[in-house]
Amino acid sequence: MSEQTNVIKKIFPPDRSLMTPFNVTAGIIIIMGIILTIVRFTGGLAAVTNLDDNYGWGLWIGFDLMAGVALAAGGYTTSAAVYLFGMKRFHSAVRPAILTGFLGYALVVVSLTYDVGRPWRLPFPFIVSQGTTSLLFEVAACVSLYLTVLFLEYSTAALEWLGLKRVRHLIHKMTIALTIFGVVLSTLHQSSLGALFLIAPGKLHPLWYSSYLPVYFFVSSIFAGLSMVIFEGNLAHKYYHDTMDETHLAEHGQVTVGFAKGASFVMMGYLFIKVFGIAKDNNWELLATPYGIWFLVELLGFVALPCYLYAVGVRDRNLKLIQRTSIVVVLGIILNRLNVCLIAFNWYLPFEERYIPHIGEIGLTLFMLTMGILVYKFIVSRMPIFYEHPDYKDAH
Amino acid sequence: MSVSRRKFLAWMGGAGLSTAAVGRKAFAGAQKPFEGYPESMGVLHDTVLCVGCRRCEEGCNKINELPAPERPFDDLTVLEEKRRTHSDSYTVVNKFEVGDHPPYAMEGIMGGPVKGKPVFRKQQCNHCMEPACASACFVKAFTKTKEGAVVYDASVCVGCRYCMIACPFDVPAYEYHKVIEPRIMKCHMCHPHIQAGKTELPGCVEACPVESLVYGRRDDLLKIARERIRKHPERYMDHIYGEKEMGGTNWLYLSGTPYEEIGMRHYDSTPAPKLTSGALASVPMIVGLWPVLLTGIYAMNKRKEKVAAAERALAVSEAVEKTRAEGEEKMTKAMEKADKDKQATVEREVKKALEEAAKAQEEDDTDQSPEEE
Amino acid sequence: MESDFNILHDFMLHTKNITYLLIVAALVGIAAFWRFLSGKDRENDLGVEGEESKHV
Repeated sequence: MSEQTNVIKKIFPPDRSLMTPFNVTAGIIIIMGIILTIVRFTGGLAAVTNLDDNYGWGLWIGFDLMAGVALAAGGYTTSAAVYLFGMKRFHSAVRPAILTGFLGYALVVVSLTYDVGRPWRLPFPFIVSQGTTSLLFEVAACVSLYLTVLFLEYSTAALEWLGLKRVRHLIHKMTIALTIFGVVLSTLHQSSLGALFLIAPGKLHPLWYSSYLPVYFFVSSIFAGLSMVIFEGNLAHKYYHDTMDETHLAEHGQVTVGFAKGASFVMMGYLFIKVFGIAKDNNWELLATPYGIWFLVELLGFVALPCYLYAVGVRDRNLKLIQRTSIVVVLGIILNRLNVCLIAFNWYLPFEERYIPHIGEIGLTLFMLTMGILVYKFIVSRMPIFYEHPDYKDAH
Repeated sequence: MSVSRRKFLAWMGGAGLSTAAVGRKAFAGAQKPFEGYPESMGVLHDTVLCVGCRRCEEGCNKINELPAPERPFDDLTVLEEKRRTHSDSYTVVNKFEVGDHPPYAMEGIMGGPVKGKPVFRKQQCNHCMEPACASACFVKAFTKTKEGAVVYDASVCVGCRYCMIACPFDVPAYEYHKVIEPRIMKCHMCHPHIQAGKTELPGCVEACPVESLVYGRRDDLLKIARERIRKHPERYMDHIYGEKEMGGTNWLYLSGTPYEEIGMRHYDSTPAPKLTSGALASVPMIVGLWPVLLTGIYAMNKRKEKVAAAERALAVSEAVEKTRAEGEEKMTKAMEKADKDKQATVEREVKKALEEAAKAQEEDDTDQSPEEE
Repeated sequence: MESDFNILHDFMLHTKNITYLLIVAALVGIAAFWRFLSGKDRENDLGVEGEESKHV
């Protein structure tokens, strides 16, 4: 108990003011977010978004949902690597990855309550009217089930903190089953998010529309998740170094290098299947158009280049290079999802009719992200995420 | 239990008959395409006849009690801008300046073909035979009725707007300004009004003064359209838009110019549900196989770890045993040597003692002998 | 069977309804069968390692 009190005292020193730059910024964003929330639910979507008849999906779907789900994929990739493929040297990365995954998916659900017209009806597809012909039905089912899986996987840390040994043990026994179920669910919904666009071939630019879309989304989620673990691990080491136990600190280098190696290799495969997609539809000439250049920027600048940089970093054991590269990959995933959803979508419309996010959409997205970060900070500074609780030393 | 021969033969006969029946049906059924609802109604829009008066828009607005527009329906200046359906309008008419190549646009029904005249086209929900909106909706808010209209049920709609993404004709509009009951707004071919007996024709068809819109059975409309093309090949493109596009639509179009020029996108005959059927079909495959593979990998890894651990334990115990055995051997040898040494020492000491005793005896004898004389 | 459905959409609604129910059955079935299949291994593990091996 005193160990925790000391940790807390370190994070929130009683003699230091709460008015840190981070807290002040977060406070402003929260106040703005509360105001925008009131406007959203009194003035409707028209009051805080630039959604229109040509763009039914905007920033909240393109960024919060699509990019958010892809970047939260560290949960299933890390737990699969450690628990199913037996890579025990990455064990310390599991809990942080699961926590990020859980918070990521929770934020996705929150952004949906802002985005859909009647959020109180979100359970309707399951309990009122099942539109089983829709890929969105499958996405909704898998995302809600996976959020449950992530919550259960995260809960062992919370239960250890609360000292509820029996419940914690019960859930811990389900680890393997939850991990397997989590990988299956992730495969399904990561790919189906891409498959959503298969129904609109006339609206998505041919360089991004492909019958391989589900495969592209699933494969890219793998290196998206691995890169997020590297990126967040780096940040956590800067700000939460004192909460980390020996194992965590010792394994940090291995996790960084190991995950970069895996990500790099998967990215190489992804590059090939993207090229195969162009070949299949014979779209080579489109690469010379403005959209073609943009496609190459996304593929070469944000996938091929970091693939190579990761490889160099792995070969030279250059942690800094790997950490910087992970930022490029994360930005590339966001770019890809925004391209499919907003930029290459209805690409033929004149500029005046294109969609640009409303300041309200940006503000509320920032609000949701800030809330997520605050919850993350609360959890990692109190619960055994970066260290193993002395009473529960059962490694797998 | 014995079965009577008659009963058995009866069973066999029945089995054979049903097999034959099922067999024939399965054989024939596998190839049969989906032909849509028979007696399905539709509308034929002959854009060659359309004069752009917008009375159809007004008729629609009135029968559906939609909000009054900003500019009245007889204000034809709105046609200078391209419009699309919106939350307050199920249908709009647009003007297209087309080239002066034949076939030419027609000026009303009375005049002859005139070069370079604008073409007008009314757009609204095309009531697809295989609606993309119905396929996309995850709460089944859209239904393709047997009367042909695709209708929307606001009582289950969550407002996800996937239908807006899916619709190939950019039809559904959303009431973004509403908070409690925002709805998708789209033409329903006046299905509720016709079913309720309020009208026999859709509002737009009723209002059209030049009979550019004809309401009837889809099959009959196709016949009418083909007949018009046959009778006036100089007036019409030899293509009925909606006959095959996206699997066919119940709203059909005739045009005097290429359809791209009047804002109608080219589509092949693949229906929307077919576009996603591949991805949907892979879901049960993944569910059936992925858990088996992953559990297998886990189990194999666990076994490998167990065997490796056992091998390590064996190696350790063997090494321990070897060390112990070596140690014991050393010990035994050392003890033997110690025994030998001890023996040798004892013997030496005994010998020494004997020698000393003998020497002492000798000295004694030497000492004692002179005294005896 | 095909004559029951006028449009592909209706056919897919029917088949996907059944498929989703079967998917739930499959998940339960696979898990149950795995437990059945690895019963002896769990028994052996119990003899050697005790508590730890009770999962899967």
